[in-house]
Amino acid sequence: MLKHTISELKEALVCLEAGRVTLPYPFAPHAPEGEFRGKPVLNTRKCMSCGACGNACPARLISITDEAGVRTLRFELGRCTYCGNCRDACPQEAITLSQQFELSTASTSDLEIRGEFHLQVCRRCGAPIGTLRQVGVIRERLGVVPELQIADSGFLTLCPACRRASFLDNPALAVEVTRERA
Amino acid sequence: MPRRARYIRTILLELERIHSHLLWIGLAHHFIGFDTLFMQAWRIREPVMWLTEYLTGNRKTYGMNRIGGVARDLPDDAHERIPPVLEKIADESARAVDAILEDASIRARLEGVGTLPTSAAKAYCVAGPTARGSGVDIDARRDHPFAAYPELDVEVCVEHGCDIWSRTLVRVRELFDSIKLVKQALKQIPSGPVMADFDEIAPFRVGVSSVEAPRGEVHHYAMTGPGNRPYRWRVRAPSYNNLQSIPALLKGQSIADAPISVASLDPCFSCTERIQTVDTTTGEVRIYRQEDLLSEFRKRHA
Amino acid sequence: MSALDWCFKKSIWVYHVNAGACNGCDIEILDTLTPYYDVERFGIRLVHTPRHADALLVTGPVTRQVRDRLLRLYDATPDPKLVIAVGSCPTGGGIWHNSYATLGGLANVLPVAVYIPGCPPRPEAILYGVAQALGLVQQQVSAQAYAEVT
Repeated sequence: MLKHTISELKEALVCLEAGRVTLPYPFAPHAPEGEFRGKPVLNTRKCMSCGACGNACPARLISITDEAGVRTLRFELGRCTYCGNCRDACPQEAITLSQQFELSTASTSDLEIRGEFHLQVCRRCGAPIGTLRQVGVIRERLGVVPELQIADSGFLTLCPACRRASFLDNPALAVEVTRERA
Repeated sequence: MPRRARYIRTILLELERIHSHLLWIGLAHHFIGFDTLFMQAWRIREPVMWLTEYLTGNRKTYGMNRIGGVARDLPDDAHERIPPVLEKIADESARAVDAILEDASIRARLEGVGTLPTSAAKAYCVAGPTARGSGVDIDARRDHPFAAYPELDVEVCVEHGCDIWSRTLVRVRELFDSIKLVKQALKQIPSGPVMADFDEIAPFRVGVSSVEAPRGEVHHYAMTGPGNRPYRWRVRAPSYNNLQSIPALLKGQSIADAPISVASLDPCFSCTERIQTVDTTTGEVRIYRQEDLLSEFRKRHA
Repeated sequence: MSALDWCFKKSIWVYHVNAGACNGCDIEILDTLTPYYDVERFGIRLVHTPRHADALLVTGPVTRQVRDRLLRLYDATPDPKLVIAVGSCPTGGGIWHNSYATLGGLANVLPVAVYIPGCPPRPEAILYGVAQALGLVQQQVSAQAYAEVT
């Protein structure tokens, strides 16, 4: 009986020593620290709408639709699991997971990111190649390496099929192949 | 998988075990009407949630395990951040446990209640603290070592009382053992890469794992698919077979002891499932019970 | 605003339903009751029967099995009531959005007042969402739209 009373006193002591620990949230903010994975944010300056994020997303909430010379990149963040795969996959580092966690909303359409980017169409057949931004990034990266300096970067505005065709059409670019038999 | 990745996985699993056992201690006492300990246990547990939020970016869904390693390295000051939290938790848990050890009401409610004899525990194939509280000496960390456990000193906590009090003691001992393991892992963790170097993952390759979760042995089956996505995934959580022992647990008990008896298995009801088939032509829905599945299986494999 | 609406703002009783969730959101909901977050200081308490509830906190993507029970729980809750979806699973179906075993989100089953996304949402986020459902705080998140101009 005494042991029980002592035990109860110890329990009371645990509570009294803890005191009041309630955080003043929501009257004061309680921000997460470090690398908290909150709502994804798209840096539309860097994004070239390549779709690497869409390949990596487990919830498949990133969709790309090409229509009438415009590529629409759409994130339906309602089902986002905040895993960060999109951020890790992006070659332009255009996606960051912000610290925002107060994401409650009355309508899931408020949880959308939508970007519209102009498409580069093939100057020969008109099929979309990629976005203007993508072509710009390639041009920039190729331009940096002197050895790969290409006199005519006009092939960047041709789709792969038309590129092949243009090589065949241009005798100057044809390569002679001789086969030596042993 | 690089050694550092193994250690990171181990540290996170043990941190999860710490917060899960404190969660259970709180919840179990809520079920016997002792809300004070519910609030205190969850108060003690909260710093672990903040710690894992700092280490991984989320309180609970760490998102760290990837094929070949872990997604990201621990922050640079992890060695400074983790030990103080562990010390505080060890200290406060010890005081709370010390306070309730001699509490006659708690002992009266938990001792001799929800008894699962060792033979029944083996027959029902229960796992985790439920099994170890009934004297069954199994622990996947020792029996099928994974991650960094071969290099750590795991203590398998077995009690022979077979009642809820034994399971409580198992979980309390595991809580302190987990704290020791995290400290040991932090001392021994090597530096190096956290992700293995490999190219594309071939599709339709199978991987099976057995991990000692806080509730017991959990098995995952995964088959890779095209496009670096999983094609098939199946999990057999320990609660699925732990819950099968409920009839044996509840036999001869009063209804008032039913909630705590069921809760003593630390059940995750989300880990249970049932097979439902839908006939796409008629729209008929059928639930398969254990007897149906067994008779179907026996018919086909007679 | 009627007298009933005014009472509704003060303290609501909440019934928590797990419609096939993984338990992550459920644990975080329980976490709001604990000393650090203490939702009971706002008069919000967890009740054990839908008959006493003013709001349903639903987690999980709504599996096929639970759908009928969920509808019965919704009918059992007296008006006026709120349905609050907690987590990414009821908000948009989560990663199970196109699974044969789930119904792809709570909106396909019940009228939802507020969605609280997160996987799982922090207890602070749940507090914020419930406060928003009661009209005490404003919504913070908004859609991001961008159109490239060449």
